[in-house]
Amino acid sequence: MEQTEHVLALLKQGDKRGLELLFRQFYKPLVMYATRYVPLQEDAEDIVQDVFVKLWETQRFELIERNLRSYLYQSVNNRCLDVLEKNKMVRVEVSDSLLGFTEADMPDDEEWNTRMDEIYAAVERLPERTREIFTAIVFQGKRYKDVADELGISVNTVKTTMSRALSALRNELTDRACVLLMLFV
Amino acid sequence: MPDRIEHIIEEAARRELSGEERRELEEWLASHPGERDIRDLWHYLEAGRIIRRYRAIDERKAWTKVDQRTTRRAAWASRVGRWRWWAAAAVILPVAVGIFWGISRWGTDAVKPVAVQEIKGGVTKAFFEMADGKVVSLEENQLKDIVSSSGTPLAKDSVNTLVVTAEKKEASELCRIWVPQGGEYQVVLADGTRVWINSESELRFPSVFTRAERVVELVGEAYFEVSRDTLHPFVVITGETSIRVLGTSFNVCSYKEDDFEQVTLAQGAVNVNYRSQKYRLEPGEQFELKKDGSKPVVREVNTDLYTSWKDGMFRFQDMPLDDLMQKLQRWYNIKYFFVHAACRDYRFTGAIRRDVDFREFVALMEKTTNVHFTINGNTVMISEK
Repeated sequence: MEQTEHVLALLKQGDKRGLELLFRQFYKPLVMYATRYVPLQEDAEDIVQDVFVKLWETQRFELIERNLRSYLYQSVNNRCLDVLEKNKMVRVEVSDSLLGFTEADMPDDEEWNTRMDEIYAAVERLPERTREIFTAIVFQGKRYKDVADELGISVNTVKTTMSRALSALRNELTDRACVLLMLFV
Repeated sequence: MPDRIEHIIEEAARRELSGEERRELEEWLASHPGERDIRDLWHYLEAGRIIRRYRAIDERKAWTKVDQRTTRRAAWASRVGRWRWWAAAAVILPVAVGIFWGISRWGTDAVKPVAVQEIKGGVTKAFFEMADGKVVSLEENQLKDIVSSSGTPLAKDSVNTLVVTAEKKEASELCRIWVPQGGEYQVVLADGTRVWINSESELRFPSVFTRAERVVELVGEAYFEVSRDTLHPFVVITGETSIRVLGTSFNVCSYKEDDFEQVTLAQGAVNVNYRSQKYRLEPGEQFELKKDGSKPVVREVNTDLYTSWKDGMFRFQDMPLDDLMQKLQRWYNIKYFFVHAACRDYRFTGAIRRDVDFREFVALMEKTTNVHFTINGNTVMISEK
């Protein structure tokens, strides 16, 4: 059975598990979506939580039956704009980067994980030393110099290794990494 | 590469670039199409930062908050609903006290999950789907009668166990129990057979067995205690095999993403059928089929290692970390990633209760080995110390 139908069935019975399933599927992607409007992750999380609480309180599940997902994104969108207005904050980049996006492009939690797993899997296929250096810099955000010191090698070696890693990954992944970026930067 | 660009690139790993920096970098890249490494590196750094941010979102903590907020509202609404507006004046004080008490209580509840970020193992929960697609959620410690849409009583949901109570053969319908990641549930079928269903697994079965054979279908892992009925053999169908028994206890592990399928016999006797070959198992034996196409093997094993999960224990002996993490992932709802491939083959032996917090488990493993676990949200990075 489709996850959405399943969730709707539960919601209509007043079963909170429906809300929980929906939450697990969409919470993180919605927070990422909201951080494109409101810069602070904390604010973004509050906004998304409000949307879920409100959804449960109003119990208007029949009305939103057709598209639970766009209802959620639209609500987050509206709440973000409210908050921006209230705080007289407008993020300059928002209007530009939002052009051409609809919530239909936003992946849910499962797709996020699949995409991230693809990146991790490609990185796992790199030779050991290369992977270690690449992970430290890209996934852990360390500086070239710190990585060089830790491993007792020169900064130049770190640079060459990174460049080797990048060309190994190039054919496999760049497009996908770009897609991830286009949506969320 | 100018120092300025190098500086921006380095910063991209640690923080979001400003619009100005971003523009500068983009312009430089546009006028230097040959610098593919720089462009890719930038993309990866951004992706890495986004992934870190995504994984750092604490969904469990957030759900606790939403759960409390929605529970509170509902209780408040029903409490007020009982009073008529004209009686309100008389009850303002007690209600106000009630709210105050309630808030302070919720206040303390809310603090707990924030203090320690725990990664708890699964709880008993599952979903039950009837032939017409109606779904009921099964929860820990609740009692509920389940009736099909035609009005026939189907089952009772009691403590952690669904008991099928359907009797009418003519009204038999196909049902499904589905246990999500981090869950576990038991079901007692119409013939009295008891099945423990592990995380991320599903079982399809008829509400009443009407055929010459009692046939059920399994995806994932389950432990069966089949009630004896020599006239009606019990058959479990999995992805690759079918298992035929008369009355016995055995474990079947058949996850789609695992590269093996295992049937482990605790008591009695079973026949495993695979591609028209029959493999007969004696107690203490295990049938293993690797999905690489090699011939299945039957060997003697310590059955405890394969069945103890149903009693709330993880047991493993000389198990490669790779396999162990695969099991833990289903139970603790985590993702993992090996930084050093050598860690995959480190072997572990031990036993631990399944209700132990994941961090505690990891701390134990770290103490005795050369492996280091970095936990970020629900992602686990595994490296050598």
